[in-house]
Amino acid sequence: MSLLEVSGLKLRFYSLDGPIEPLDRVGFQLEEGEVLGLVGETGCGKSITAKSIIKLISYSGGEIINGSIIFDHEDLLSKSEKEMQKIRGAKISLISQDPMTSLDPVYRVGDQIIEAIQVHKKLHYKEAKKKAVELMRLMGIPLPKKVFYQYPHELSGGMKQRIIIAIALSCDPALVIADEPTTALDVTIQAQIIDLFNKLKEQFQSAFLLITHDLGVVAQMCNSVAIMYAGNIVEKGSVKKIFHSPNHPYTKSLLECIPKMNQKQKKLMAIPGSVPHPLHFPTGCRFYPRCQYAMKKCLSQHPGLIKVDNDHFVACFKYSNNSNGE
Amino acid sequence: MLIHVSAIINLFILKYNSEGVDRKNIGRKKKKLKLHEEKQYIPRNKNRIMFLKFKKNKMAIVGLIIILLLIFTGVFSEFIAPHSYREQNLPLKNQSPSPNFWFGTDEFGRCIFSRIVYGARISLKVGIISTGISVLIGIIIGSISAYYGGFLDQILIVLMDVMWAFPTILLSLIIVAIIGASLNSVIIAIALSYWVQYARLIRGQILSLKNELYIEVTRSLGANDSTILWKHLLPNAVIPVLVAATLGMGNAIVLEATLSFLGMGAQPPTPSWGSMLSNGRTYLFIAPWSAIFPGVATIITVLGFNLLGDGLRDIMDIKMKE
Amino acid sequence: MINYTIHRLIMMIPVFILCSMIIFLILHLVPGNPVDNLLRPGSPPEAREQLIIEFGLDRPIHQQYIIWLKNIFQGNMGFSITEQRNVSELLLLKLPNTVALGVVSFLISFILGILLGALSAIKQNTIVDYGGMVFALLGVSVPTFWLGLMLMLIFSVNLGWFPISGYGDLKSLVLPAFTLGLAGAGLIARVTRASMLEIAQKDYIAIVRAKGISNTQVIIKHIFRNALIPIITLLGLRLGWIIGGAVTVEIVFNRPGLGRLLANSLFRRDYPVIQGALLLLIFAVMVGNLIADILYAYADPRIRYN
Repeated sequence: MSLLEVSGLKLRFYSLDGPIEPLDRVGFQLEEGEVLGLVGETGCGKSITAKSIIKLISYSGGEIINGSIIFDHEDLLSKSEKEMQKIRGAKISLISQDPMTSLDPVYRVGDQIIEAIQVHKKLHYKEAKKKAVELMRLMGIPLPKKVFYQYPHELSGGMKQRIIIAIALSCDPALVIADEPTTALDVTIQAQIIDLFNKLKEQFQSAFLLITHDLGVVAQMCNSVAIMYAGNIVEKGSVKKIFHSPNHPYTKSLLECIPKMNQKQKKLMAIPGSVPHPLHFPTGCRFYPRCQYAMKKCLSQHPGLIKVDNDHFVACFKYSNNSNGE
Repeated sequence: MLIHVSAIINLFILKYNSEGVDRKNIGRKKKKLKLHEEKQYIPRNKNRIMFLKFKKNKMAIVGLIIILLLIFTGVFSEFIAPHSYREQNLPLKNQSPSPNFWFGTDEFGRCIFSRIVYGARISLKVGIISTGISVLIGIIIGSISAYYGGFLDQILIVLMDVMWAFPTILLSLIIVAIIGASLNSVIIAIALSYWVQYARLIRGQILSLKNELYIEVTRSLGANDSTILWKHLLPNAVIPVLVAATLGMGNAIVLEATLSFLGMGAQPPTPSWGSMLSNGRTYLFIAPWSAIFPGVATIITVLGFNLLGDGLRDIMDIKMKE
Repeated sequence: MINYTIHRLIMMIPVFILCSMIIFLILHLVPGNPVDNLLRPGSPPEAREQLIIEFGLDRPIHQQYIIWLKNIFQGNMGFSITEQRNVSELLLLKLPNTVALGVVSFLISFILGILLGALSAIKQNTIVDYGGMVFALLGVSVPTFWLGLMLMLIFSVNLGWFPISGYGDLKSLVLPAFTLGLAGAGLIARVTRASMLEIAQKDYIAIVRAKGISNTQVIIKHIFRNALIPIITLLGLRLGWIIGGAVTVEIVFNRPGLGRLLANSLFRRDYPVIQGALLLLIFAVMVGNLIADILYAYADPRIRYN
């Protein structure tokens, strides 16, 4: 049994134009200590997947209407809000996209780290503070005792992100969901944070769900990848398989978009079109309007995930054996 | 000064129309689906989104209806009012509401309903003209202050801060006391008391817009100061001011009623709701209707402006930090 | 923090001087000479001349201003003809009534407004929220004096619970304070609700929730605590508003206070009283703003350290 098993996840929001379902049939597994990259373009539903796993999506107005989330042999969807509060921060924690807006501006950063420790570990302030300073040192924060008493607006983006990571790791969670942890940072800081992650991965033995649109980050950090397009998982497998033998047309195009060092390229590749708005998701395969291999069948039928190899699944009719619609 | 209200109304009329067009296009579904181009994300236009939001915002619609009714009442007072607003009929004084006098009569035997109908005209006039003037002053001073900055800005800021700290009602009371009590001085007093809020708003808007990338781009393309101010900054900064002005009209109408109530406003026999209340107060115990109905009329009117203003603010997603 | 306070205190001086100039100038720009009010019709022109010299009205205007200001700092605000009293004495006499009204209505509006706004935000889109917001909307739409009249009609005339007018005891304070307080509560409720709902959507609230903090804690410690910042800004503004509202409420309820004194003096053109009362009110507004600014800096660390 995996640490986290998400399957058939379907999400609904109510917008001005009626209900939208930005996620459908989202499923993936995560083993203990594994790093899974969830990759996709902006607006494909990565961030809401993250919030759905810890059931914070209802605070943003969303509703999980289908599917299951099994974490550590427990069904999270059947848990009450009170029970979820014991899991959040203690067993699953979240690192959000923008460090600039992710810390409460009116509290000292130290107290924000302590908050989680005190709630879950029932420590006294002094012990909790000791642990927080220790964590801050581990995150590579210089002068942690001084920074402890500083407010978020006094810290740089990179420092804030380290504080947020410290908060996420403060209770030794089994799973850390990192939602684009490096996107809002400068390139040099990005590299530092990635190094930090790689170091922490070994130290904390937590599993990471890394949400990103940067395949480079995936290559540096992940064991396996799930590619998301318009609220669906289109391909998943180990990093090696996905990078060396991508099957789904979307994955292929994504990889082609990465400029290669050793080849002379005249023009940077780009996938024509853009991710459709959830209101206008195509029926059938959601990628077919942008797909160069689209068949008649893709218009009306939704391709399920098909196993193409060990640890390698793809949702495309090109690879289905019983191709009856052609 | 009717321009402002009619502009808002036009805005909605335009949106209703464009909505019609959009519907037609969307309704005409193409039957054959082609492979590549079909079902692409249709970028929705901004007006349509605003219209959808407006349509969903029932409060704003109620507000708009109230204001339209008020305008209708003000324009057609002569046809709506069953009696004259000034004709005294002393034998019929302080009568309670009856089929003949719906809201009863006042201490001179005048029909309160008719006086309220005519009073709508006064309230509208005060609301629109005084708000119009104060918006104008606010835009001029606010944009000068924001756009030119420096020493002039500093002086204007101090001036605005001082006036901002000063209670509007006292300010307008003093102004009326100086220039003499009449409806026109009330209009002037309200205009001079309220411009600061618009000036501050427009100043803040322009200051934040000034640093927006598109203004920098425009400047780098060689646009000069006045082009940027008139073509780019003001049109964008003005929308929150229009929303604030909608809310401000409600405030102006309350202020007029208050000043008239204090005897500093419209003089008899002008049927201002405030002065009706002032008289009604004297007869509160024997003829409470003469104090109740003009107040209810004022509240409904102010409610209309507040509902519409709130709605517009939500729709346009404007943050009006003060 | 201390530096900030001192800085703010020093900043008050020019503003106060500017205000006093404006007050002085405005009342000297009024057509007609103030002494005309003192003279009986048909007095000889010599008497007028003498009065003008006596009041120093023949000197250049800047000298008059300096003399006036000097007198005020010595506690001499002039003499009210209509009330036959020293202005400072008169103001001190009326001040307690207005302060009592102001303090109680201030408390009513903030306690009621914050409770209502917070409750509406927490129970967003429920019947509680709708009820609260309708109340708040009425609060900002109903003219203060009319609310006073209606409360008087219901609670004094019909139910006989409270006296129609008067001052001094607590019972007579209830209706005026509620009149003034309810109107303010509406605005505060609206601001509280809006800012709490805005804060609730911030990234850092999601992070706090992801820490496993209970919902009550999230609301009190984080959402409300951050929403307090705009509410404090209102605090300073409300003070000026309450002073303005005191004018109408004191007139409606016949309470002898500063507001009514000021309005009556305006009718009678009793300039020394107008000037004295206005200066006092402006001073109160400025002190209120100062307190609000200090609280603001205390609530928002981003301001405190700048």
